[in-house]
Amino acid sequence: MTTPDTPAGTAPAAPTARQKTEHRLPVVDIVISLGLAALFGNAFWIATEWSERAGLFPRMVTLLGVALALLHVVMLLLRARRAVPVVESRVDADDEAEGDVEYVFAHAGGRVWAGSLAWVAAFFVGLYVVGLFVTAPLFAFTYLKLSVRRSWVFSLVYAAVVFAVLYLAFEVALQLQVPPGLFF
Amino acid sequence: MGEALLDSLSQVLQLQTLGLMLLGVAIGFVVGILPGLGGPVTLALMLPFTFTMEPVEAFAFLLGMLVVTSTTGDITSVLFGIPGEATSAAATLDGYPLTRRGQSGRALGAVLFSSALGSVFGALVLALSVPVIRPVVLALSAPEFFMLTLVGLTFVVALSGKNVTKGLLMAVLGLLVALIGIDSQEGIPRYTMDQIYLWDGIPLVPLVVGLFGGAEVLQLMLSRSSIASKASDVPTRITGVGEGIRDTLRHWPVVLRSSAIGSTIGMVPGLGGSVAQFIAYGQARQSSKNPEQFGKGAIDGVIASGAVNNAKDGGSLVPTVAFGIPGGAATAVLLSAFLIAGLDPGPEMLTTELDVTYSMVWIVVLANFVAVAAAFAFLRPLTRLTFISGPLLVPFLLLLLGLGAYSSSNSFGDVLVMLIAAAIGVACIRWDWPRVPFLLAVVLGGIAERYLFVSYSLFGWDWLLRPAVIGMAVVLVGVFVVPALRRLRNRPQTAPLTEDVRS
Repeated sequence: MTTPDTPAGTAPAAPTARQKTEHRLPVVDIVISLGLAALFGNAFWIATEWSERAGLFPRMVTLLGVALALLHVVMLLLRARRAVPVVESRVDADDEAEGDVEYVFAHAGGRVWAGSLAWVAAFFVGLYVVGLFVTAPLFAFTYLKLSVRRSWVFSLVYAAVVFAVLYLAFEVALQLQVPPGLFF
Repeated sequence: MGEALLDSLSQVLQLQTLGLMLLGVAIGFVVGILPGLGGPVTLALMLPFTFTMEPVEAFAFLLGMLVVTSTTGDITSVLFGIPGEATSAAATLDGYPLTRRGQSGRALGAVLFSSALGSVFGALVLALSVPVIRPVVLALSAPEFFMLTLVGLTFVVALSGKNVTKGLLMAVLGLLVALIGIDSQEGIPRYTMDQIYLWDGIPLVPLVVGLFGGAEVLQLMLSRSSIASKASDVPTRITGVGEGIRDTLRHWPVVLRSSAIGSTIGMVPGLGGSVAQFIAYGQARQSSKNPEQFGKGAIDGVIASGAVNNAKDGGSLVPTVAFGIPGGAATAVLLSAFLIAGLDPGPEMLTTELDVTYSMVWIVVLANFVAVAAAFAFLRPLTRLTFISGPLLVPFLLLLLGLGAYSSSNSFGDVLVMLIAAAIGVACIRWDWPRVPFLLAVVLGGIAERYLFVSYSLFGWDWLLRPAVIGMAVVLVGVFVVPALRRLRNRPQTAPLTEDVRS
């Protein structure tokens, strides 16, 4: 799902887009780049202990990574020093429908984020402890009842359908090994 | 060629293969209409279930699903002005105005029929390019393939519209992830952190599932949206489909030109369907007798959008199959399917596995025709799917995430890899770092190292002086230098720094 954007070739250049003066440090990008530089540096150091045959490609890759990460930090710092108006124009140029997702992630409140992550964590802890056959219908029921606020009947029927699909489609038809949990 | 084509057709028409293709088409159909899910995400979620399938069966299922999402994405574009897929955005520009004028049936007839014709064009391009490309591919050796891998990666980074440095960094990170595991040359464990689980490397399936599926599930939880919220959103009568089909036949030059644009741009790694649709739309407006109608309900605009969308699928398969260089996110995930099916893109796909390549031609055509026929038959009930809100899908999608990751090797390590990949995917979207170069580098990393090793073993460093290698190195540098020079030259005229934020 995406919202229709301005066509790539016809995107207006200036006043219709958001206009602001950019003088802030892009802290997150700098932290990520420095983290990557440290990661690549460490990986390069490890690769120096290997023979030439085993270490050639890793050394090339990690050295390039260190150089690019540091270059990116320098570019971000230089760009931040220039107090110039930044014109942002949204253009979909990828096959991925990331536009909506990006917007949702950027604008969801802290409580909504925490709640959603808690539900995801509960699902995977349940998967590890009691297995998928118990977790999937139980999660479906509680999530739909408590978070989506659906009726008891709807939530119960949905949970039953999830169990049936899991058993019939995945275990019986596709013969996949379903995560069993710690106690089974 | 003819014999191979017929042979592959008989394989596709096997009962089991046909059944899997129809299942893929059905899933693609629903996914194209449902909110939040896209072609690459669904492809990633379905990847684990192809382990036990033969290559042709796996591609019938996956490709059947993928090509149909482009077609059905157009339905919501026309009916609600909301594209089901990013590549269906152009169809809203004229399709939705036609719906508002009470001509939704005509618009749907045009967009769906032109989609079917576009898919045939794309499939023809794929079929005809095999005899042309085969001698080129067979003439190349390890050094050229190594350089091609690098060129493909840099094309995806440079042309996909993301911040180039970020894209390159993500590609290098992907290469580093691809290095994890026992080195195939000397048996040295590399970056395994003393974990036996990592000796076989990072498994591809949980990585793909997490990277693409995780973020989408979280988005559905956070947004809680559906396409249509009330019955009045759906047009009460959908008539005039036949008129749309006749419009398409009448505007056959638009179909041909748009299909040619779609399949050509589809072949260029990194550009993808989002760019192709607007170029085709632009040319349709330029060549139209009524350009002033564009944006207000021009039927040739709808036809161009439909044709280009599906023609690009056939085109994007050409570099994926011949060189192992995918055109975009969906074909990058599809490339993972090649490796899971035990296929090596490149010479093998054009010689010993030619039947698999040609089977893709038939799958693209058959899947599209089945989808278009089904869309015409069940148009009204299908629009009901637009009332389903995102959170309702969450329990089922989480089930697919967990099961898909675990079934890779029946290990909770795989689930952990999936969760880490999901966290990377979410972070990438939140702070605008591209995911596709990362995935592509993970997939191509092992192949690139193998080609580098063979090149070095055979030629020492002399392989760097081979003419084709130098030529590709020039292209590689040019991909970055030319746009940078152009930006530098244009800077005085456009004084403010223009920063394209592309998604």
